[in-house]
Amino acid sequence: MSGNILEIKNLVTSFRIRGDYYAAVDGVSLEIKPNEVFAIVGESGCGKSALALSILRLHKGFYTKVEGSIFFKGRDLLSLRDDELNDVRGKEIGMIFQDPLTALNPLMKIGAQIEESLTIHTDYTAAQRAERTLELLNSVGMPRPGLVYGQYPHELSGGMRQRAMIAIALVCKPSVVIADEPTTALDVTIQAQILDLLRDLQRQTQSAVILITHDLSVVAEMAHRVAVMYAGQIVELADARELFHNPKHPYTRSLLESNPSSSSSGEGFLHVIEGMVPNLDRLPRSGCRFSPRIPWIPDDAHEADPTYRTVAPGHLVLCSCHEHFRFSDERGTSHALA
Amino acid sequence: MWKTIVRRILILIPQMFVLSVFLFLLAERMPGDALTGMIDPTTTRPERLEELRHQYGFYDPWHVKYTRWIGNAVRGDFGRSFYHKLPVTRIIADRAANTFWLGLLTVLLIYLIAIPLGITSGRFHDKPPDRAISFYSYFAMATPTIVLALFLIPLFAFRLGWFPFGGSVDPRAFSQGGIHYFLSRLHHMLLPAMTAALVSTAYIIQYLRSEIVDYEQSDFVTTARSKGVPQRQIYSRHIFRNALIPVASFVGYSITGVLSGSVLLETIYSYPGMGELFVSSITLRDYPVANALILLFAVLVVTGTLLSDIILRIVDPRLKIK
Repeated sequence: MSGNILEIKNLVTSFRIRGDYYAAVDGVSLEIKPNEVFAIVGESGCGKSALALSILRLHKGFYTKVEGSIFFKGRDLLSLRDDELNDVRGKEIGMIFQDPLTALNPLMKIGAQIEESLTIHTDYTAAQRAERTLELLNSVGMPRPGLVYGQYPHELSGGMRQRAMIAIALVCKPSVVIADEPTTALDVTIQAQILDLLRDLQRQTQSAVILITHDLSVVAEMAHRVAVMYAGQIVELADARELFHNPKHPYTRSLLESNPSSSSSGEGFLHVIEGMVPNLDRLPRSGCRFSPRIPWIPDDAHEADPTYRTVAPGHLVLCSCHEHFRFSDERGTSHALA
Repeated sequence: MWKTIVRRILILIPQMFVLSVFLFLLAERMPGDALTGMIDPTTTRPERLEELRHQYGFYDPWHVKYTRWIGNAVRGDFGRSFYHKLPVTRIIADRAANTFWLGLLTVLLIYLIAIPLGITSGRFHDKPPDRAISFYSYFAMATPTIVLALFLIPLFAFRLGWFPFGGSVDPRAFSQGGIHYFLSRLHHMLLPAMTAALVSTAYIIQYLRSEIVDYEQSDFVTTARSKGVPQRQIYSRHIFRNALIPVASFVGYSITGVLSGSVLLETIYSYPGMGELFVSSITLRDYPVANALILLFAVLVVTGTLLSDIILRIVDPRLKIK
């Protein structure tokens, strides 16, 4: 295991569309170290959430196929039976979801929803469970925890609900926490508070955090390492600092360029990436998947069968097209954007 | 919550007033009167009829008649039945008791059948148990009560002889009283109640099924799965409770439905209930009875709705506030 807490090997997660399976996550391999914040970034539809849900096999319905292997503490999560996986879910790996309103049961009190994991995974007495829950409500910064304990989700604000959601994920002191867009559904001011909270808690609990987000500022603020996903593949992987200072892949660079605060296009122009992530059933399955969105790069600049290249220690890039990519070329073509 | 209930009851007063005026005018417009059909023209002189009409106030202006009627009604006196020559309240009271017990049994049967079947159907949707239950549901939805009764009566009342084919109590049990009386009543109610329930359950089963199937896909169920909650508890703690909320609120409405009595059911089982009384009072032009019944049905509708709201407030914490 070589010091990794979670190892994802060649993960393929496919969804069934009109009878055929299409891979939303297409051959992803990752290693997560203990006590690190590992961010996965990308546009909507690039497979981030599909990847996050695959780890605990939480996809809805029968229309999903998850292949490959995900090793956690020496066991392949994908080959476990449901009841075996239930011992890992919530106890060793906690999950924080995007929308704290729909992710909480409207008919259960906050206290009961947090305690549910303790009831399943520990032999705490009712008093011990309540004590742990109140302690946790305190540490997630919940105002008036004693009151909130007996309240229902609809009585809380969005930020408080997300704090409750975080408490649910952390109650059994898991060694890995998966946060799937934890701030997307929140107001900007609340986003900052929740991020601060997540970072503080991560430092205290020393658990590894897999942070799924499309928000690069979130990555910059929290992550130690970053994987950039495009069309079901990881196109670039590096330490956060390295990635922000020395981005290689055209997609990574375009994403950074599209950030309003860092745009170098100047004079009020915001960089926009041409086109959109193709639908699952239209995705090119060979060659460089990003090539249709940078059409001015000649075809022979892409690899026919893209492989990962190490450009710096711990810094991997998919495909060789990055060597030919310059923003100025785009402006010379008809793809200039206002 | 008490505030809501009191407010709803207060709203009931103007509602009932408007309804009673409307109702009275309608009855007033209907052709004929109770005397027309009841007195033999060969032995009674038309002049005597006119005399009686004046005596009973038939030619008074409508508002005078209305005030007289409603004034008495408020004091609990709905007049006398033209046909039965008895106080309206007494006639209705007898029938209401019959309908009430039959209705109660029907509602009980409906939910005893519908909830387990609906839960099974949703829990194992698109699998054999669900297919069987759905087949039954569609069959029941497509079968009118009266047709079902026409099959059940020959089978259970005549061929098997398990249940009586009509009436509300056995005359012998009536004279014996006590437990015999009670059992005989129950025995007479079972077949009509079953007939009504078998048809009504279908809607609740299908509703419950689709609620459960929907909730299986909900985000909070994914959260519960991420906590490691075993499948059985996902259903019992998370899905069923949410899915049962709307069904619980149906109880009030179904009580209204069955308490108004079913004309068809009561007629086919010759069960002396309110539905049957209502229809006969209209065909006999027995307006004092018909008017009182309609007012009673209106009260039932409003209280049924109120009951549904109260149940909903009890089971759904999101509605408890205010």
